[in-house]
Amino acid sequence: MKKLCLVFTLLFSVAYADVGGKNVILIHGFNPFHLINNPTDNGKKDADNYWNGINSEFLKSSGASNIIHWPSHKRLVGSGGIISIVKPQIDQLLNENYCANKCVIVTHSTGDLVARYLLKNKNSIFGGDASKFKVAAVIDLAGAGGGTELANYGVGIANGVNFAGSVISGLLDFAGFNISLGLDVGVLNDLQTSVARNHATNGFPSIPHLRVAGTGDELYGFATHPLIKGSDDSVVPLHSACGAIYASSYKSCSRDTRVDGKVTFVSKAPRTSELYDFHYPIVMSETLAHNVMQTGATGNNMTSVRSLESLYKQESNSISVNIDDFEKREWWDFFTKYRYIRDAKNHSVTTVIVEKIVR
Amino acid sequence: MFIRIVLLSALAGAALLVGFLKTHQSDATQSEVIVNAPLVSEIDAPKVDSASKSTNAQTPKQTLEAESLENDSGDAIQDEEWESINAAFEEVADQFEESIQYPTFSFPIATPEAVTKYIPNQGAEVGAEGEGYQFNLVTEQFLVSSAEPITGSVRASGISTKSVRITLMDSGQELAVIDVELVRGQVPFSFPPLGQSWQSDALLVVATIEHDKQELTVSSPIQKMDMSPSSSELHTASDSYVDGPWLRIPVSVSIKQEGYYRFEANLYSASTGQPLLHLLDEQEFSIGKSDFILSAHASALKKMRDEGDYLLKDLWLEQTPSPPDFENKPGIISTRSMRVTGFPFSEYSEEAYVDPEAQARLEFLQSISN
Repeated sequence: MKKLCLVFTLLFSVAYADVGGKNVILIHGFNPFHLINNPTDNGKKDADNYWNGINSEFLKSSGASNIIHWPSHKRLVGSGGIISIVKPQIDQLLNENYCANKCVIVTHSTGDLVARYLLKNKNSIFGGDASKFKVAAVIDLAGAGGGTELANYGVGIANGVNFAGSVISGLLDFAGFNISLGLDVGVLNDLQTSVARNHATNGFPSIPHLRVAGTGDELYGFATHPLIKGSDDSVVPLHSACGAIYASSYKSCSRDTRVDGKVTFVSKAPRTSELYDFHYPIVMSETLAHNVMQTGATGNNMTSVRSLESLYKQESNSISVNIDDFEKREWWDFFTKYRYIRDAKNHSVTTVIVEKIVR
Repeated sequence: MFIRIVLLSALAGAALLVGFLKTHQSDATQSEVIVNAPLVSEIDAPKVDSASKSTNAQTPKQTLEAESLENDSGDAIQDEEWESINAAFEEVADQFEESIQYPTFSFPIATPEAVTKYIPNQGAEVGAEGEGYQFNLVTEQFLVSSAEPITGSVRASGISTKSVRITLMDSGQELAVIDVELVRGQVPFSFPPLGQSWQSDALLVVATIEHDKQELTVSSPIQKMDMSPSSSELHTASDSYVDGPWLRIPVSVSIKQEGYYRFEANLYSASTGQPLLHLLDEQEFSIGKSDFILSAHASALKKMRDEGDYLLKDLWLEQTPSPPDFENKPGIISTRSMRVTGFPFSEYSEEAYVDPEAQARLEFLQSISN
């Protein structure tokens, strides 16, 4: 009887996050205020708040936290850098056998870069524990792993490059403060397109990255859109969010679907061979802005890229993906066909993921 | 009354016409080739997900329907537009066929252009764009030795001025400046090696051009590749050999600091120059001389239809990050290519590559469906 009680206690005492039947690890993105107000807790409190509004399925309620924190005033690599701060947190989860049945890593923005670096260099970073760090898939929301032109401008300003006034004011609107000459801009250095793309070059392990890309407007979008190549979500360009190998000017992640769901040919989009290996941008939204992706905000139509969903199912399929979408002919566009994820407008992005995508 | 009806009808018609013109105009300003496409065509592939719970009304496999279709100009879709639509879907099918059968460390390179994915240490293009103009800067490499020239190129379109100023900046100080002239919209540039005048870890390459009475400026970083002291040095490839379904290519390396090391290279056809496979090996080494073993699977070589000989190019060696410093440390490579002997396909065994992870995923899905 005592043994039975113990078994039940063990079974029900630890509540784990669950997406697609897998435990979840959350890795957040860049926080510009860390540059002028270096956090003393390595960004832990901000990280916990970062995911406010996320679907509860993503959150772990006991044991080591699955919300990985890191401070934005640090560089990605190096002694005392972001990886050195993230590693022990993942070690704690691995010690709980959290990824024994494979984890799903969910990233937002710069978290994409952090996750890619961790996974590509898993063996040397984790040594003997690398085999415990089993990952089924990564879900990248507004992934900044390919960098953003905003970072090039920010680093340039801090290093004395004489940009036009529109650049300086655009960065001010984005960051919320003036980037001054000599300011240590931390991980912004790593978000420059050349740097980001050399941190995470190809030759990845065969872990699928399911990507959600948007082209919506933040309040400061009017100032940052002109600074970013192609379409963007006010911070991250599509060339990064889609997982494209070229930092080119794109209007969509797919050549057969527009970001607003119109089923049409789009020339300014990467071919599948022009995506990083195992990167599948399967969800797009015209109205999703950068800092909305990870919150509880609703009201955004989303579309699916069926060709890439199909490709993912055949190449990887490590977590079950079946996007609940439909097509309809819109009268206001002369009955042209559009594709939407069902009820997406009534749900947040993370709820759409658990209810309409990974199922 | 009749006149009112006629007037109202005319107004309604005009409104419709305005709406039509607006839709097409907004699409046109995006400079896209937008074609109304019917249903999505998907890959004809074996079912993998037996636990599928899709509630989609659409079936996975659909064909493009030959409805009467128009592009945004209101003309019937031309043959080349149909080809573009079909080509987009065919690419996905090609990608599938290549990817699932091969190990990631012996990965076919889908097209000659796709080799770009697998070339290490590239600069990424950065640019400014606006209504009718673009201005882009790219450095040839991201990591550069202080003993090497700093090279790259700029290109511009829709900009009338041709003179571009390119500056190397180190922590706000100008180290070097050159002025170049665009020829047919692009121009390469080169700075001589900086040597000891390169003090910081990173420099900025800054390009400026005048457009419409304002200056357009973009910048891209380069990082100093400090080779001294390096923790590893690549030597040469030993004789390749067939090992069951594998072509094994030993490549010797000297290790000066124990740790994890990764060696990547692209295998090219020695006869045609076509890129064939991306190869990779990662090992933990002690101090001394060791061998990486690049392994090309016969199925991947057969896919690329090349029995060799081959050339290993685009070589990259690095010590991968580990505690406490978590740095990638590039190794010394003094050769640009290595010749590799090929073998007739008849000498390889027929074993297919089985990805144990994929097998585990399949078994897991099967257990759920049961």
